[in-house]
Amino acid sequence: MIDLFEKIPILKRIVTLRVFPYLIILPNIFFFYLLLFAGLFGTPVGNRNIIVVFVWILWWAILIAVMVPFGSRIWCTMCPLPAIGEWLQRMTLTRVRPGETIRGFKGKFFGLNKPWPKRFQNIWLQNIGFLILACFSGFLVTRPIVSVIVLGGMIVISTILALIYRMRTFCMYLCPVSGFLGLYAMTAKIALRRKDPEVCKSHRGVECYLGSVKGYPCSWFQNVCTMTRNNYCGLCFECVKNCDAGNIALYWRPFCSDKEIKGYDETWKAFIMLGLAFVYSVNLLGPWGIFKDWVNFTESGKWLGFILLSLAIVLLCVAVLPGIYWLFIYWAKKLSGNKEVSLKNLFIKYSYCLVPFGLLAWIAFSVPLIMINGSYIISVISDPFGWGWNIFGTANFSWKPFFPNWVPYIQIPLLLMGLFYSIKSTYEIGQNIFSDNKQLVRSLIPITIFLGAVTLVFLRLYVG
Amino acid sequence: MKKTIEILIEFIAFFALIFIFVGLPLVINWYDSSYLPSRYPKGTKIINLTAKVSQNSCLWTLEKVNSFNYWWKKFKFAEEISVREGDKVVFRVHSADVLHSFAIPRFRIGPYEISAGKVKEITFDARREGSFKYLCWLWCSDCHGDLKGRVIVSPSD
Repeated sequence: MIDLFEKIPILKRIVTLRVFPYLIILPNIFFFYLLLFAGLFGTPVGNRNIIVVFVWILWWAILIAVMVPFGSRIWCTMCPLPAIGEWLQRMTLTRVRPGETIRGFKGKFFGLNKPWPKRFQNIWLQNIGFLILACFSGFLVTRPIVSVIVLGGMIVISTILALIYRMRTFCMYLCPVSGFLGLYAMTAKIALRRKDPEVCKSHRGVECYLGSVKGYPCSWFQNVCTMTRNNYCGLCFECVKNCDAGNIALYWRPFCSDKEIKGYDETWKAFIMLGLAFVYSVNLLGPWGIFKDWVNFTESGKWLGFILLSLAIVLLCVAVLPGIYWLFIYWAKKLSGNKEVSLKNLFIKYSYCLVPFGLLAWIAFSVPLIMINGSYIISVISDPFGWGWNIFGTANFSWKPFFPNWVPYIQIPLLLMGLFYSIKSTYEIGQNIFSDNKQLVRSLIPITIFLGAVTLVFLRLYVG
Repeated sequence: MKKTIEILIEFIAFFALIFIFVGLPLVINWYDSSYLPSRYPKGTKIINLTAKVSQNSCLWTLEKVNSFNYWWKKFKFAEEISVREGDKVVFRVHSADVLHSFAIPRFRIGPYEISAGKVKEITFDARREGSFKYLCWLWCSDCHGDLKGRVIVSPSD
């Protein structure tokens, strides 16, 4: 593992600037405001409106294919959605307002600062939110006004919650994007961690977590001294500012280094994400017009089809996929011959096998988004609102797929890479569960068959 | 000194935000309603015309159709578009939804394809007075036949 703060000292200097998050949020606020403006006042035609093209083609592809695997939750560092709420909560854009202590956290905060109810301190609400959005994805990715309602709604909700609940409650427990970012951030090349555990032990203040005059408490409620996973670290870098001992490193590490799924909420997130990668591939990329008609029920009038499809999506993600996976886990346990390992434990721990494959399946899904629909980006940068502008002279660039024949040849290795990382990671997880290597290998047979079957389904969808 | 710099940075940061929130709509409005029209020769009459198809009716309208009002607003049908003889006219024809086309047959204008979400600029000189039919020339929907109106060229003073 390489410590990027040591290798590139300017990086540490930048992230410890008090003005740092603001400086990268500001351009995003500008773009986001432009997108919302376009979503309200631009053309209703999705592929000619910058909000649809930039958010659901460009941003999505960059997020899933670049930011998450290489930058973990770096999007959360620059996300404009909760920024207004956070600034209101802190009553400042760049400074620290020390002086008070609320429930151990240092700093002056505006608002009620209530703790989020304990029973909702998980990602179930994010799972539900993402599934609901998925059911309406046909509108979300084609109607600019729906994107405005969803993204604008997230700003409003996050701002209200910031004034009621402490820190980034919205991001932690409600933001539908945050849920899958957290899950797939486990695979990321970078990770913020403490360097020497002894330094943390000898240091009583825990400023990295509770805040100090140099920085705010961790908005994500993560104690970097004990943090072992990327899931809930929003890379705000406040802990780096707070740590006088310089004991926090930004590591560049191998892919899929975090391998621990901790609860059913995270397990189901993995099912939902994999299920939706399949559903989107069928609905948006597949040749089946009937599904497109059902998704587009306001135009086609096929309400029943939409309800059926929505139910099928929910059932697939919540029951069918977990049910099939459970059967394979049951088989894995039986085949291993180990009676001490509980089915629940194996079910949760081995569900990590869906994480690398799920991420790579999403990346494979995003390849045609860019290669087939990417030319819309060139057109809308010159005419962002569809008002007949031609700022850069590219407004009349017609739709043109880029190397469409290459798409399957890019998707195949991506899916196979996902399969490889999934099997490899499951083997490594199994080493911590089974002490006997034979039992471990036997337990992997059903999982490998399951993953192979899932890969074949995606290959059939993408390659035919 | 450090505190003064911090306050100064905060001040700049705050005004940068205000500048974005207030400035962006102003710049967009200036570009669209002042800068772009200034490219045409002085006295040019610019007519923004939008074709819109809804589930039961089609219409041409001179009102601005956008993503927000598209779904609920009842737009006024541009049955007649008035210009004066001798006017230089630029039609900026928009399509708010599907592929249309635009033509004024008696002026030998068009048909020009108007792609969904795109704008086609069509220039003509109103040389003759009279009433001239304009229409969508392409079967765009079941209510395609409604997509017609008249350009009224009245005598110059």
